[in-house]
Amino acid sequence: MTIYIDNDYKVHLTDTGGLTAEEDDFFNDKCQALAEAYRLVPEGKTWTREDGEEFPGRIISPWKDLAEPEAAQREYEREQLAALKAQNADMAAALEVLGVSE
Amino acid sequence: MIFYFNQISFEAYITVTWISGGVCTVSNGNVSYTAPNTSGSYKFTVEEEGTYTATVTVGSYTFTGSVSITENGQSKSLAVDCTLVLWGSNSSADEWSISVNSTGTSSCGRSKSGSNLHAYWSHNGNYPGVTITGTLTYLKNVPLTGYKTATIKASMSGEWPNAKLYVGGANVKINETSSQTTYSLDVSNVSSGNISVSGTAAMNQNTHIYISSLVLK
Repeated sequence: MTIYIDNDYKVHLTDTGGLTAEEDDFFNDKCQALAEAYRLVPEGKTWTREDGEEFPGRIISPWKDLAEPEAAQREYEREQLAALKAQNADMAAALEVLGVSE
Repeated sequence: MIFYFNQISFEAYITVTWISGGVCTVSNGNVSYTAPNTSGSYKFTVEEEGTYTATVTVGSYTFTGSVSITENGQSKSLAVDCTLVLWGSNSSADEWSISVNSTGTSSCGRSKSGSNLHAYWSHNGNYPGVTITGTLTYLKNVPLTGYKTATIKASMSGEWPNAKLYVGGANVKINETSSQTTYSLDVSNVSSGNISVSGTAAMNQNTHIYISSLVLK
């Protein structure tokens, strides 16, 4: 999945300009709130924490507490599941109209 | 008539710092004091001279440090080292499990090799297009709150050498190199989750990883 990082290596799902594109499967199926709670430091780059400790990439790590983003992720997954169930129901109804039964 | 008693009092101070989230108790063997919070810093007032031991409890782990109080009015500082050693020269491979997500097409193992934790996962047989994932997992429950940095020192080889260290929702890539190399991961916003090393292998390929140390600070 393509994500975009800013100068502080924080992840964004859309390129608002001046961001760098990166590919990583880690962000597959993550909602925006959860994906954007992470920092991705690419290989060859180094992020320096406020205490001066340096972290060379490639690193993926949350830059803020994940409690709220993870709650958003659970809600996102519930919505995805509900949409899938509705889609399945539509397909079953269409099959029934066509006379196809189990 | 009023009598005045000359009360002899002793008061000294020990400022202890430790990892936030831990419970800190200071004792000289006679008297114990417990910090009223787990913020990671507290100034204890003690009323006897002697050697005081600070004990910090973080989950099922304990860490200690000592300081000597010899004079009334004295003020001393004590930083309790709460470094959590997940792999060191005295560690046992039994503290780790290893698995692959595909049976019949793969093998895996882990053992103590010298002072290193050696783990491997191999993808065997004629299964083109099938990729397996091998995972080495630390079996103990680790209290991550308060820890800021995970540091692993490891080397890696194989036909498909790729792996990452995972600490909860954070990960750092371990590169293919035969020399022991140090990788650091910021875990200051990781409060829960497993600690593992995981990677993939394609058909007839494998990964070997040798971990010489893994610590949380």
